[in-house]
Amino acid sequence: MVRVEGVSFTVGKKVLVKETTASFTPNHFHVIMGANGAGKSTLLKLMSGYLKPFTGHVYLQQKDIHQYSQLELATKRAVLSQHYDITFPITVRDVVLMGRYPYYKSVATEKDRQLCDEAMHTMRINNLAEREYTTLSGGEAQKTQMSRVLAQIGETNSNLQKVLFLDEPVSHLDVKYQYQLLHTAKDLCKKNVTVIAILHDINLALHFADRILFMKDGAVRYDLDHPKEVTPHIIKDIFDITATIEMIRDKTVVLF
Amino acid sequence: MLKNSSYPVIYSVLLIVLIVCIFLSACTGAVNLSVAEIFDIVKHSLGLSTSAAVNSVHEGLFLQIRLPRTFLCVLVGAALSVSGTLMQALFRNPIVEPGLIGTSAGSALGAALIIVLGKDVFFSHLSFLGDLMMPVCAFAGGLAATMLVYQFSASLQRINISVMILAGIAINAIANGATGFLAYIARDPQARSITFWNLGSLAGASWEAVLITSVSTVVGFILSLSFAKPLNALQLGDAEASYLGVNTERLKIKVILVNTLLVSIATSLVGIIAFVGLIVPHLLRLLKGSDNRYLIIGSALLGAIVLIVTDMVCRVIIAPAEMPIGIVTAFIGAPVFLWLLSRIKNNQGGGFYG
Repeated sequence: MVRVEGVSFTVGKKVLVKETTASFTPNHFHVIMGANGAGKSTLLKLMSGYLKPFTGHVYLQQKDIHQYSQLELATKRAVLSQHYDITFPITVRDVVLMGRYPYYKSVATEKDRQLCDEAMHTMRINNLAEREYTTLSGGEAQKTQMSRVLAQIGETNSNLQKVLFLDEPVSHLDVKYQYQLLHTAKDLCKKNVTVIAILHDINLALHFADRILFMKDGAVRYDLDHPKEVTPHIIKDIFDITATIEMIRDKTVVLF
Repeated sequence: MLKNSSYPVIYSVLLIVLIVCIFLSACTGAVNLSVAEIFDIVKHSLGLSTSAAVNSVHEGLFLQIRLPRTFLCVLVGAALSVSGTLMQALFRNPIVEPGLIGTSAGSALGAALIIVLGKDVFFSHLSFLGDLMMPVCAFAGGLAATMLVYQFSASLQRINISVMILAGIAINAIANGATGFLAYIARDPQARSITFWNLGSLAGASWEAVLITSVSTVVGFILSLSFAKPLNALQLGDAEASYLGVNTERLKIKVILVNTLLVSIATSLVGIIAFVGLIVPHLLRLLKGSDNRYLIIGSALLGAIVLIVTDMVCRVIIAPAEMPIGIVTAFIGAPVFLWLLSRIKNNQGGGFYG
């Protein structure tokens, strides 16, 4: 459960997020969409507790997110960022194991290693485990990072409310793995995890989302509880492109 | 060969090499001692043997000169290399070392102040404080320089590496200029000692120096080990490390403080020794990965080995005179540094080791 109330964030004189209010519920796959520079990533960084809002508050499970310690927070939410830039040689397995850092002190337990193996299995990268991260392709690196994030989410059950943030998680993936990664996230939704993802492909969003929020100029402009209600007017307003919307075999499809 | 060995095996091999090097270093020099003679001297000085066969000149040489010098090499080599590891992990950049970001030059300035202005300025009447003034001033100088460079290069959310290198150049220039000025106004013997000490030398090794450095190095090493895991997480980036539960701002301050402790105390006693801290972590990464726990332990061992061997070269190469160690590390270290740079240039992936 994540709630933002009147949140604003500025850099210099530029307002990146202004007066935004929204709430996100467990068992739902939320997708945030918007044109470049609409403030999506900034909002995500505010909601994940990395940036501190200038005005307003972000609540995670009814408590202000900045009242948690970093370590506490790390066991409650995981974030898949857009870019990773690793300089030094490190194996894929060790990167994934970092997802368990919040849970162990200096030596990983058997359970930690097992969760990592499961995460790599889910993302189908077991064969890459001993590869050096810096030699991976963009897609392989993205799958590795997703495995790490899955390992950080770790165990799920009805008593644990965890949040998964995904910032353009499929930008480097081919079609098959785009669907696979988002299916993985969707499965987590069923296990009491709140999923909040930034996506650029509207049809991919329509396929997975339980709710879509469209952002423009740093604020949420449209908040659709039923994504199928998307209209050409909304697409035009948000992305400045003319589209038609068709129903094809029971699926809403946006055509450009 | 060692790539597939486990960490304990690598540590053991390094430790054995280190012990061999310690013996070699204790034996070689203007006067060569045999291992048997060393054992005789040790036994004699511990009162375990009453045989009068021990040459008292050799005994003095070994106990008062050779041995402290060898131990100082171990401690300084370990301190500089662990510092290099910390800095490279913190700045997430493979070409960072204490010499580049002002720590060494700042420490040198702090120490030069004491050499020239003398202990009479500060607390001279207390001999204990007098002995500590130099390391304390070196620490203050090193910390000030490092913090300045860090402040300049830390922009809104990340360290800007090119700004950091340029700020390092500027701060180094200021510190070196001030040190040069002190050398200029100094009386001759002081100026000579500043010059020598800018090139680095272990010739002044004493048991007091060993004691002071052992405290800073051991404390710094233990604290560094506790940073290993968060520094690993930092390799993903600032935001990512904080998502993994690391308080990155606090971590950075702690790492800079420990790094300054390691470098400034060593620098105040032996002068500026460049490139050791840069190259040792690289050699270890080429050997086996870049887990920071391994790098920190490995740096302590390999750094000690590298400095002992370099110091032996200094003592032997133009014997009976002695080469300042900074000259030798520069001549060996700079080409290795260029070779590392060429690896970046030739590797389109941007990786250093791939």
